[in-house]
Amino acid sequence: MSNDFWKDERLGERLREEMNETLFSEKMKKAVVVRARETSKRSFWTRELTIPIPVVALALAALIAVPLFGWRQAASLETKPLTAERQPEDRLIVSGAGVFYESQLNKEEER
Amino acid sequence: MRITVRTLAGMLATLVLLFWIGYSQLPSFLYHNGYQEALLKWFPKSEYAKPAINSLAYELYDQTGFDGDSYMFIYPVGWSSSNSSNTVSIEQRKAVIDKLEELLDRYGRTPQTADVSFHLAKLYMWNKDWDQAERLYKEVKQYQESSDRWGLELEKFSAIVESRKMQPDKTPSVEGVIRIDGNPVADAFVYLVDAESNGYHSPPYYDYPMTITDEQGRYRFYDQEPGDYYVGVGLLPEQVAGYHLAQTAEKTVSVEKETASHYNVDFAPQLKAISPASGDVIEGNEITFQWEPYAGADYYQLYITTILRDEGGKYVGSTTTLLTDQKHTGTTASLKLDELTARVYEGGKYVDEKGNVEFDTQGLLGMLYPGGEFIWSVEAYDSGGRKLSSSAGYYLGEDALAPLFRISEKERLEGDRLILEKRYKEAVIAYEREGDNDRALRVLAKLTEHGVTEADGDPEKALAYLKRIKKPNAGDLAAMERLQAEHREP
Repeated sequence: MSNDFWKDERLGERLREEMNETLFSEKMKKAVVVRARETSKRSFWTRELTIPIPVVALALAALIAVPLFGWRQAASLETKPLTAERQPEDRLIVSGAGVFYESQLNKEEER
Repeated sequence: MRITVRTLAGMLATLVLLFWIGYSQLPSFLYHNGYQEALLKWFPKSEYAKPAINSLAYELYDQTGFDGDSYMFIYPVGWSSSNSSNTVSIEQRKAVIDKLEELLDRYGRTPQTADVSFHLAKLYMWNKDWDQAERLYKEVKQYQESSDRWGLELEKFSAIVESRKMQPDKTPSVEGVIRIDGNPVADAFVYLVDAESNGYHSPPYYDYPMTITDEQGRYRFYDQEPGDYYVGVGLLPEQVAGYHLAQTAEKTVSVEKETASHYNVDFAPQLKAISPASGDVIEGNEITFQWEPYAGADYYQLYITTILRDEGGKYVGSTTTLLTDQKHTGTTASLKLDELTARVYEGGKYVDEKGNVEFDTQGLLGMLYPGGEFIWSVEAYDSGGRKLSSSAGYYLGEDALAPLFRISEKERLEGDRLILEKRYKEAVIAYEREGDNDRALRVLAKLTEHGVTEADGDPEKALAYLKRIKKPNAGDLAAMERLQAEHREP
């Protein structure tokens, strides 16, 4: 046997000693096994589903789009003004010289 | 993205709940936010549908301008307008009518939609479709027993529409024809105003007996109380634009029991004033008025209207007087401005309850004065002195040019400006600074004679001012004579 063999043997021993703290104890091993069994028996409600991102994005877009579309539809249904916009109040002026619209007198004056 | 079934289910349940809440509240949301059409389309059976129809009808009716009419009500001694400006055409109103009729057809005619019928009736009325208006007023009246919401308006409007029918078995109290330029006017409102009553109610639908002319322009009032009445006419501005209410021998019609009184109303073509117009500024000492000849006219007389504005330039009133006594046989008149300015008539001094003094501006500054703003008018008379027409008619056509003009401010004195601002005490000081300026002395005499405060004036001092005038006119001489006579009196 060479010196190297003994050296490796000691190295292995030391390694085992150092790893002792990280090794699962029997209790822990049992707990893992129990948990693994429970997981395999998980209920329907707790099952995890994987939803593709595009589907999520589409659903979110639809959630936003439907009310928006509805609002636009509602707005488009509203009656468009059927008549011309009314002019601002234009007083009729009655004077000894005749009856005029006030804007007419002001307009004449501005010329 | 990983998610448990439970979470997904929770999310979906929340969404469904939210959707349900949203859906059930949507009619209320749409109604209260003004989406009446969407509400009626998506939730026609909702409890909000009927109120939505009424609301939509009101909205549509509002688009036509509430009262919807723009009638001018003219009677011999007065005038009023139900609506000053309205751009709604018959076609536009017809579009609203069609829409409301469609709503009623779609959702039925029930007490809940009576508002729609009432608004529709009024629209038909403003469109002069009397039969349809009458039909709908009758329909609405059926619901009146359970509600008084239409009250006087329904009662009066339906009575007006129904009154258009001739009653062959009865003698009308008053009857006559409405004519414009000799042509009978169909579908005009005609109403009677008690000549003894004080005041006037506008619009006249609610306070005076009113009827509508037939195809021949004839109107008839039945069962009127005996008495004297003014006959008023309701016409649209476009109907009277360019016309003048012709003078009648009698301003009132006398209603007697059992007999029919007759009263016709005629609008004659307006005598056309040509110049000055459109705010012309008169420079120099001469002003020339020009007008178009009027058939049958023997002579013409000129009137001047002084425009009064507030500090913001807003029209607040006017005064009209005969410009000169002269009877013009031609169609032009050239007058000297200084003579018109010197023509000061007897204007009064007014003291209000707070002691504020106000003078009649033309009484101080003359018929036409520098910086003043005026409208002129001309009247045509036949050889018998009967007024045939006047330019003082209705300037309501699109191409109508108001015969408005201004006198250049060049000759305006500081005192004149202060007079226009009613600062009379300062005006006196300003005029005194002018020295022996005839015009300044003339105004000073007037102000001094009456006094610029609540107290009486000083006629003696006024006489002294008049005596300083270098070129006294007839008015000055008459004033001097009067003041001297007063001075001589013990």
